[in-house]
Amino acid sequence: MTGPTVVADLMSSIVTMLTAGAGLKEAAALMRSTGLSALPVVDGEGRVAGVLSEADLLVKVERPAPAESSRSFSEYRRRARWRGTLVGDLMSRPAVIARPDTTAPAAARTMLDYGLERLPVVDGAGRLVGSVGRRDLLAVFLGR
Amino acid sequence: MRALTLVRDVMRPPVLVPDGMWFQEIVRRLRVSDAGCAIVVDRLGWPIGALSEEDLLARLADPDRAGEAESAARRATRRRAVAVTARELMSEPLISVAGSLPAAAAASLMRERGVRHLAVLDQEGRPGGLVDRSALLEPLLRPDLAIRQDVEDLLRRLVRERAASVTVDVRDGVVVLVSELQLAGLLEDVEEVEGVIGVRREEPAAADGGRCAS
Repeated sequence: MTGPTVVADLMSSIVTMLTAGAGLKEAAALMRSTGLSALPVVDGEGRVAGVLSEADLLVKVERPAPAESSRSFSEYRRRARWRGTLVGDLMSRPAVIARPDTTAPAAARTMLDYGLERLPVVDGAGRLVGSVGRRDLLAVFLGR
Repeated sequence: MRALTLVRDVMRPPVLVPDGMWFQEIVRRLRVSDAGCAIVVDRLGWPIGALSEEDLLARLADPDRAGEAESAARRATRRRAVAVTARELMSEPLISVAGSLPAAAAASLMRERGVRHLAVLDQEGRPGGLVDRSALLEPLLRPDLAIRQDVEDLLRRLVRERAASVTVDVRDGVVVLVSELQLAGLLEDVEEVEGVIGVRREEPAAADGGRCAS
């Protein structure tokens, strides 16, 4: 092997994405059927506007806390987010991404620092070219 | 109303890893089991901790950038980067729940404790299942028709005979109550129904075409 292993060597180039106007039930169904823990959300020009993750969707699974208990800021924010019904309302933004030439150790560092399981891979022209998950990165230890 | 989705409805059989298993073999076991987390067990099969792909990723990740102050969390990450057995690698605390816990409560517990997995132990305290975040999305997939029936039952209990004047429409988990009544406070009760993604009230269609108010 020549040079360090980079994201392009390990990523999945199947691109599954959402739009900000999609419904959350549709997003949950897509996540369950693909087994992907996070999906990129693209705008009209094909740029990655954010990422919707399982953690974002679980806000909807939790029952909303009664209004009078919403004293702390985080509780208030959680409740405010619960009001959203579209992907754009719950997605995390800006998106934390990887480039095809990001090295595997650097991508792992980014995942750990941000507590993410999957990163969209975006090329220099801003095009979404794939995604890379924790398991993809761990493949470097298994040899090929 | 029908029973809520419980942890036991969505859990999967646990992936078990002996505490002395080596790094590379753990990577392989998680991969073939299609799991993001394993329960680490001692020689007698008792659970002693949880080990996730995140713990394994620490061995790959770039070390600190030069000159940056090293936080305790970073030091722990670095320590794991050179650890080799399951016992040394595990860091996600083993948080266990009963199979009878509602999925919604399990989701809250995960968020509060900052974990992505929960172990389900049997009556003897041995691993009986594992739930991840993906499994807990299941309640969001409830069919609209089932949600509508629950909402209609709820209305009959809360506003009795006036329930007949409320039309319930559910689309992709979003409940629309069409009614002349204000229904104040009621919307929050409807939010509690499993599978509901949002609730709003609309005025019945009038000469002006109807408008949205909630």
